[in-house]
Amino acid sequence: MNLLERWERFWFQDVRGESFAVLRIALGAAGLLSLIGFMPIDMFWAVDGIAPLPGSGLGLRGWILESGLSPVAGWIIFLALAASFLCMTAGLFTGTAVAACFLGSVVQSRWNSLPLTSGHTIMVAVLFCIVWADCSGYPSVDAWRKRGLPGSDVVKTQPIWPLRLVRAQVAFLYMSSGLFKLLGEVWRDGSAVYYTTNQNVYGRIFQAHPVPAGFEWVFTLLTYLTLAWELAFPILLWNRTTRAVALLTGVGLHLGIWATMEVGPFSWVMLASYVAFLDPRTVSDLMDRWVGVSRRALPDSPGAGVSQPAS
Amino acid sequence: MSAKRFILSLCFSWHVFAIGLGSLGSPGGVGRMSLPRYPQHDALAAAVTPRLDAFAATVSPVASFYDRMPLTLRLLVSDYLVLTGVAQSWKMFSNPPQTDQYLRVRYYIGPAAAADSGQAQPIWTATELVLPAHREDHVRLVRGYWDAFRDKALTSALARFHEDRNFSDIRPDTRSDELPDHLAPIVKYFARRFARVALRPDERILRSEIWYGTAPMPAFGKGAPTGRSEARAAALQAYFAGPVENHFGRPIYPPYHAGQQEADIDWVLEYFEP
Repeated sequence: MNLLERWERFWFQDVRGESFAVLRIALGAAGLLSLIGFMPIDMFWAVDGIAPLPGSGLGLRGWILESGLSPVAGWIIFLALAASFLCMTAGLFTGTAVAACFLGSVVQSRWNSLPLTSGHTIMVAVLFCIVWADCSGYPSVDAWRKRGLPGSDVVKTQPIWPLRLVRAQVAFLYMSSGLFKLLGEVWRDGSAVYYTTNQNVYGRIFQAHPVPAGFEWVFTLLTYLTLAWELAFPILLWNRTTRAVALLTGVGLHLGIWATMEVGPFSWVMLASYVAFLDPRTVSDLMDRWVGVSRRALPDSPGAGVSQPAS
Repeated sequence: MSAKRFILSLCFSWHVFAIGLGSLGSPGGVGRMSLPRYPQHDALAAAVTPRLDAFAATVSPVASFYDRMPLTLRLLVSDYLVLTGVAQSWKMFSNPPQTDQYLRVRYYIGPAAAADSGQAQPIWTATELVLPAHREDHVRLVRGYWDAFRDKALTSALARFHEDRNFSDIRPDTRSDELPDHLAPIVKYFARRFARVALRPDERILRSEIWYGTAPMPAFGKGAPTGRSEARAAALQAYFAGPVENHFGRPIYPPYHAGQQEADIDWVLEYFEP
């Protein structure tokens, strides 16, 4: 196989749509969880809440504030985004819903960027990648509504490139984050995890109940493990075995962040993005086994759920 | 390769190049490279730190790769990332704070009747701790999830304020309108909320101030000095019950950037209005 063929196979290999559907569900759920955090509405969505003062951009926020529509506008944007993420998670009007989630999230970052974390940034970046894909495959309301229609039992495939873009995005995130951590003194001397988990604003447990003396070496070990893993992540992806190690380590690390720090939805959005790294064929097989019974049980969709190899 | 695939390939290449380069162009300073250090607090750090220091000095030019790209290319990448909404910065916790942080809002309350004349004198004050949103002596559970968003909004506004404030603005006679307005929404939001629940109809907030507090965290591997954490806990205890009211004496407006001390917390007046 020459280089051009490798390139084409890398980006345009056809895969079944279940990976996109599962990624859609995971991201949608993480998006909803994130959105719930931006409450109360008057704090984060009203123009006169904890949001940058109006005055820049198109002047829309200033006009809304002067016209007294600030709370109404806040509620409208919030509810529209919530409805979009709900539809995306359920797979209802999927294409429109994913596009609305992407555009709505971009609007949110223009509307009030103050409470947004890196979790929002990665959410937008991943949505940008999957907005081009057909994410309406099983399991989704759209697929359920189409059962029995001519052609609904045909297993659809699509190019893998949106998943590849998500993988590249996540790899760059870790590589960049690892590089900047390496340039931070406390990451090199092994104390960074101690400072991040014990700080009074971000700490979940240790700011209230410090780790007993004599166990500091655990923080040192975790600091170096995090640094090494982030820097090595893009390299580890190139081999199937090391990729599994990288992803399992990532799951452990993000659950550890969640357990010891309160940084909003960051861990959940990152874990949702990991679905893009799963082998699409394995995901399809698992989905066949998991939902296949119910799909075959539908009286008017004979043959649906029969697994076919990806072309 | 078909024409469609060729064009798509160009798009993928550009996108991956742009997010890669853009992620290196994150704003904010990069940690200063130092000579290799030899920490003694544990054997692992003693073995690894000097090697990582040397390695970091070698790879640090990579971090400035973005700055060494031609300006046109940087603008093109930047415009593309902003236009598509995927501009990104991944410096989170690369230089974590090594102090505990606090933010409090102080309200000066006087008679509403004289407030519009500009001659009103404050009668009493109330001070409210707004950062962190949770009690730091408690483990953060479900409620902590919502608190994290408020904390993030406040720390973001504070970071932007510090970034945009000129050194020349730090003088005792600095006027409110000379300062960047990043903290204005915070002071307005909490003042409005306080006025709604705590003031009588004949009272009005004459002035609101934001004080930023920092307190040292116990140095890694050394533990807190005896009594320090107890003293701070006692000082914070008063704030946990809600705004702390002071009805004694005649309140006086402090000069800009005035300091106060509570246990080991150093408070500095960062912003006020009007």
